[in-house]
Amino acid sequence: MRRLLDVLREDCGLTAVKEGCGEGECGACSIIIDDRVVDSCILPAGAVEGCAVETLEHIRETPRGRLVVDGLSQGGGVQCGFCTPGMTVAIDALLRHNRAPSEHEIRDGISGNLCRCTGYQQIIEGVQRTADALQELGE
Amino acid sequence: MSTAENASTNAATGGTASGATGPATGDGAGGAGTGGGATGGADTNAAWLHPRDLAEALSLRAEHGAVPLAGATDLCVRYRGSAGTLPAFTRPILFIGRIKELCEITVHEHELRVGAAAVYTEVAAHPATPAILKRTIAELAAPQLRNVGTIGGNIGNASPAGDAVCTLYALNAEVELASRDGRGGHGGHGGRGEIVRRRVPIEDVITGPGQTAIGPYELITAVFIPLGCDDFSFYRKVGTRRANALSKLAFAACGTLEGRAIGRLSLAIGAVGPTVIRSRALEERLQGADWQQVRTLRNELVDGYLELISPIDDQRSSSSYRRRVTKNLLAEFFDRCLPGYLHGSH
Ligand code: FES
Ligand code: FES
Repeated sequence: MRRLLDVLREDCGLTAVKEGCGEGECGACSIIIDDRVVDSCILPAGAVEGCAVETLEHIRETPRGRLVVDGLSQGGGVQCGFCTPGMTVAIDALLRHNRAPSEHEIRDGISGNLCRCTGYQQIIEGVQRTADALQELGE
Repeated sequence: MSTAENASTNAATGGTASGATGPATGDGAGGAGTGGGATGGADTNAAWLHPRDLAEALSLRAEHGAVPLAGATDLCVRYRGSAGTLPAFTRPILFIGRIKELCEITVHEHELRVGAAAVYTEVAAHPATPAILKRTIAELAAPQLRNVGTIGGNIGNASPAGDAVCTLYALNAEVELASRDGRGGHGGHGGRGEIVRRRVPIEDVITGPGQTAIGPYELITAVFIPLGCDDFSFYRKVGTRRANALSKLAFAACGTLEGRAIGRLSLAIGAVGPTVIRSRALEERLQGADWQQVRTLRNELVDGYLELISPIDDQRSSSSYRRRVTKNLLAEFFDRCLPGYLHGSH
């Protein structure tokens, strides 16, 4: 059985799904299955039969996804950018289930995504900006 | 529809082999692709068995000696090769993550029945789930792992560092095991007859690091958790990083109160011995104790627990560190947490 990560990247050409650690530690390969974020590097492709699979290619074209990207990019939440695709997916998933997350909830929501550059603070502020913008949008 | 793909001799060489269309048909725009009934038809290095119900799963388990897999988090990491390669499973995989009965969480009288393939996120969200288990799950791993990881998997892998398992010891959980024809591990052929179930206390299921009393024809079908046994609870996980599912140490205690005295108490410590440590004898010492008796007994109890543990040095921590932390957590529990509940200040 192949990994979902490889099927998405190689067969579907969805290269926003990144491989970092390949063992469920870093979150670079995050995707959304049935509205929930998962690591595609440790998921056999067969395990998602019949599920809705979303990658960043789709998420960034949605109104909420665009606001997540803006929130991250506007306040220094993107530095080297290595974690950004997976981080964006994880934040989008968080905001689907919790439209006004507390700082603690944001930290939990991104706890599976390693960032070596920002120290996370700028990312957390970015999520807060996105949540505010979503509220204004009535999304 | 069941799919029993033949094991291909195709060595696991990093997913470069051209595969049949994968089930995840993320369309060009990455939209929500649906599997639409496609089988898990990618390349396999081991057979991928996809039973549609429990009866079929048990037959396949018996016929093929297949390894059950639901969320895949632990197994994928354990069987993983070098970076960039797919896991080289050596035995057929029995994918049970979509079997309805195994995914359900229900309340029966005074207990919660958690299907073995229910994911942590669902368990934590269920209104009847005891607070200590919710907290354990919140601290267990990042959302990516909570969304696929299962309690059944945590038990089946029998890691002494399984956080959920430690809390299940403290909650007096029982594990339901099922097989067909009642041939649960007693030789002979796995049957095609009636589904036979047995319930076993969790400490009798996990017999050592990575070792369980689950028979070769059996599957974990559910975990039963008694409700109403946690008037008070205390949980601490000591680990380097939350997203990492394995902790250096886990400590779970809960119990009932009778007025200002302890009714029943259970205390479990994980990752300080070959299996989770629990002592009925020490727990009984505390039965009926009020806060003053707890104060009198605490030294004896702390020493008792420290004698029981046998922590090892491993990549996560050293044995002397674990011993020290256990002592500190026991002190926190006996000196601060318990007296707080017994004074009624909680
Ligand atoms: S590549 Fe999947 S978690 Fe790191
Ligand atoms: S921006 Fe560099 S790893 Fe996050």
